[in-house]
Amino acid sequence: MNKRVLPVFLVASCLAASAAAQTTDSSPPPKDSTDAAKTDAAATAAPAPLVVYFDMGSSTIRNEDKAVLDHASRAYNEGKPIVMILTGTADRTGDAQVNLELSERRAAAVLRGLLARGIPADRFQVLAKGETELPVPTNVGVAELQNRRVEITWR
Amino acid sequence: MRIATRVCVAAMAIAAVNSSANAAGISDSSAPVAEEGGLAQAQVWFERALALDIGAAGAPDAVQAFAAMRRAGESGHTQAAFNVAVMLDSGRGAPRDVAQAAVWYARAAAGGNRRAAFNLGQLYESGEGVPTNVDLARAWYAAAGLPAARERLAEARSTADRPAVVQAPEPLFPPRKSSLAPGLQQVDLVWTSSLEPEAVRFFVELRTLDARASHEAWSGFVDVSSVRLPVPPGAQNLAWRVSAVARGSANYAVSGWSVFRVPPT
Repeated sequence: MNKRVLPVFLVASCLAASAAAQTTDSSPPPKDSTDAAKTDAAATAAPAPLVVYFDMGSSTIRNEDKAVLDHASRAYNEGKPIVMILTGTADRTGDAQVNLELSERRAAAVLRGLLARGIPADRFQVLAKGETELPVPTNVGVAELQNRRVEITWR
Repeated sequence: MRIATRVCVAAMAIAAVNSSANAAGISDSSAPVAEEGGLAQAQVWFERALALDIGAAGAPDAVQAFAAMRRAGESGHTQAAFNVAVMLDSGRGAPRDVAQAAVWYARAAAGGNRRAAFNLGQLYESGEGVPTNVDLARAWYAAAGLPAARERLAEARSTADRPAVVQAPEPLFPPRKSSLAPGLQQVDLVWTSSLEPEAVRFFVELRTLDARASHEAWSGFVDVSSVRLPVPPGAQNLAWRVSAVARGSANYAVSGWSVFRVPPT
């Protein structure tokens, strides 16, 4: 049990360390990164990313989304060194700092779920984007479900 | 307020191809057997498939990788069978087809691949690509023996209504009247079963057929929904069937005979 929990702490402490690097800036998130990702996905015909959605302010994985984690865990194959990328975001309600931590907890919850399904800890890249680079850019204060998510991609 | 994206790389050890499979604690029961011609050839296809998938020589090509992987799997390579299942399950290199993925998971699991058993348990628990069958999900979790599977074994519960009478299992692989890879020395038999009225085991019978007679090659009980059996030397035409047999009563139901062919090399 301890063995599985350890990598989660590793990620969390990594994230905390980089928290010092945050800046404040009111400019809207750049759109081009999502567009580029779409073009890239179409070009390589990669499977669509799997998405886990969250309730407002919550980092608890809902029962109906456990199948999404199952599906993601089954993308792990033998021989090909796969890297799973977990990207957590939050909607633009509430404080940006709080949302950054929330997106971090959401990504960590998905990481724990995948580790519990036996994926080795060295196969993950965990990103917490707070309310930046949102799938659906909105104004401040908009409770957009699409943005309360962790996206699971792999390559 | 814009907050800089925080990026944290947990650890991105992209190990060499061979050591990564070992590091992940994956069953290595499918280690290549160089002596056997079929499996040695299968290993060549498997390595080619991996090279195509990773892009070892040029751009990665998942579609070609899938074709080579399937060829290796059809020749009896267990890891390749598992990877074919994963690619079908996630829609990488081939259109997503969970029902076919389930067959390939069952074949890899019959060859001893634990992760294939775990994944197939998930499919039987959720009813993706196979009938929802919590009993079979639990049997596969138990067969997997992985820590993750043991947790699921403890949690898996059924709320579904059970039928009144025992249902016959449905043979899935080899497809009826199909012709398998020439000279194949082992054959995977795969079936599926919907939830039964009570706990069942499966009784499998494999027979060889020739012009004059039919002989039993193997028969026995299996808890899960696939088994890997040796093909008797010289046998070309074979037939098999599977029964669901209640553990606690005299109830049973049997599938029809399904014939297939293993051409000589």
